[in-house]
Amino acid sequence: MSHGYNAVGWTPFKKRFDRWMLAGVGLYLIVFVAASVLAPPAGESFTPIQILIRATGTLAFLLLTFILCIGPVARMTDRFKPFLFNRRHLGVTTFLIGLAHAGLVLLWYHGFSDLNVLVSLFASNPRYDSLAGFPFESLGFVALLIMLIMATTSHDFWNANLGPGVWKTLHMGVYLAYGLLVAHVALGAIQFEKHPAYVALLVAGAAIVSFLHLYTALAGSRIDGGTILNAGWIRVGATADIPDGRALILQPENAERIAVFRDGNKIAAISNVCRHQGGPLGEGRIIDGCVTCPWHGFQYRLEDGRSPAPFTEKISTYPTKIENGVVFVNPEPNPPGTEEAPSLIGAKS
Amino acid sequence: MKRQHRRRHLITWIILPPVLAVILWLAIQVRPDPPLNETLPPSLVEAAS
Repeated sequence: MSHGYNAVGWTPFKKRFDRWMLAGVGLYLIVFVAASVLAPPAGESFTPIQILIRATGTLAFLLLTFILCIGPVARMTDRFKPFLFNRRHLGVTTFLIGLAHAGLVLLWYHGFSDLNVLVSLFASNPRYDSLAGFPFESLGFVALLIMLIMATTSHDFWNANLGPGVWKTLHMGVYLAYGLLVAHVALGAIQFEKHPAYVALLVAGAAIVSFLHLYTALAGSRIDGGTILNAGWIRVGATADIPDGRALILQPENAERIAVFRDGNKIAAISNVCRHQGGPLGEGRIIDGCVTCPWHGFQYRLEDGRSPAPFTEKISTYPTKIENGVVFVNPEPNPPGTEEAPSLIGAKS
Repeated sequence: MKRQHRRRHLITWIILPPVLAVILWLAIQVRPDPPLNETLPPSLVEAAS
C-alpha cells in the first residue's frame, strides 16, 4: 500500500505529555510493588511475579477507564482537550501494559505444563457454564486481541489507508473491549480480592464511564436543527450568539452537521466533520486564523475549507448570510475546498 | 463524528450500561464470603478441656 498520509506532528507538547505519562506509569508500578512488599494485605503473601500481575492488571484497567472518560469530559471542559489530543499514545501504552499483564499470567499460571500456553489458557478451566468459576482469563484475552488490533492500527498510515469511516468503526471496538474487561475483572479478581476497595473501584469506574458516554451521546443527539426558511436557508441565530473564534453546530435533516464559525466580524460555515478521523470541528476553535480540530489539531481555512500548505485536506464550505443581525446558512454544501466569501457582521446586506 | 458513528455510539451506550450492571450484580452475588473467624470462643475452649 502506498497511500499518502500526513501523520499528526510530534510536537514538543506531545513529547512532554509522553514523558509525564511514562513517569506516571512508572510511579504507579513502583508504589504498587513497594506497598505490596512492605505492607501486604493481612493474611496474604504474593510472589514477585504475582505482585507484577496485580500491578499491571490494575494499571491497565484504570488507564482504560480514564481513556474512556476523556472524550465525554473534553466536551464539557477545555481542560481535558490536551488528553484528547494525546489519547492514542495513552491507548497504545495501555495495550502494552495489558500485554505485559497477559504475558506474566501466561508465564506464571500456564507456563509450567506440557500444553501450549494458549491451549492451556482456554482448556485448563472448562467451566464456561459456571458464573463463580467462569474462565475469566479468556475474556481478558479477547479484550487484549481487540486492543492489539487498535494499537497496531492507531498510526495515521492506517487511518489514511482504511479511510476515516472504517478506522473509526474499528476503534469503536474499545467499547466491546471495555465491557469484556469489566466482566474479566468482575468474574476474576473481584472473586479473589478480599478488600472491598476493588469492588468499589470497579463499580464506580463502570458507572462513571457509562454515565459520561450516555449523557454526551444523548446531549449530542439534541443539537438544534435550526429553522428552515424559504429557499432552503437555515436560521442559525444572532451573530452575538456565536462566540468569537468558536462555532455553533447545526444538524440539517438527513445531512452531516454544519459548523458556523465567527472569526472577528466574519461569519463562515464549514462541514463539522474533520477529514482526518471525523472529529467535531465545531467543537474546536480558530487558532492562527484556521479552524482547529479538537481531536488531533488538523486545521482548515475558514474561507475555503482547505488545510494550509503543505497539507492537502479539503472539507465542504456553505454559503452564509446575515440579515438584521441574524445568521443564516444554506445547507447545500459546496464541493470540498470551494472558496466561499464570509459574511461580514455590520456590513449592509 | 459522522452521523452513523454518533448513532452507533448512542446505541452502544444504551445497551452496554445495563449489560455491565447485570454482570457486576451477578459477580458480586457469587463472590465468596470472607472466611469466618476460626478462633473458638474461650468458653468453648475451656469447656472442651
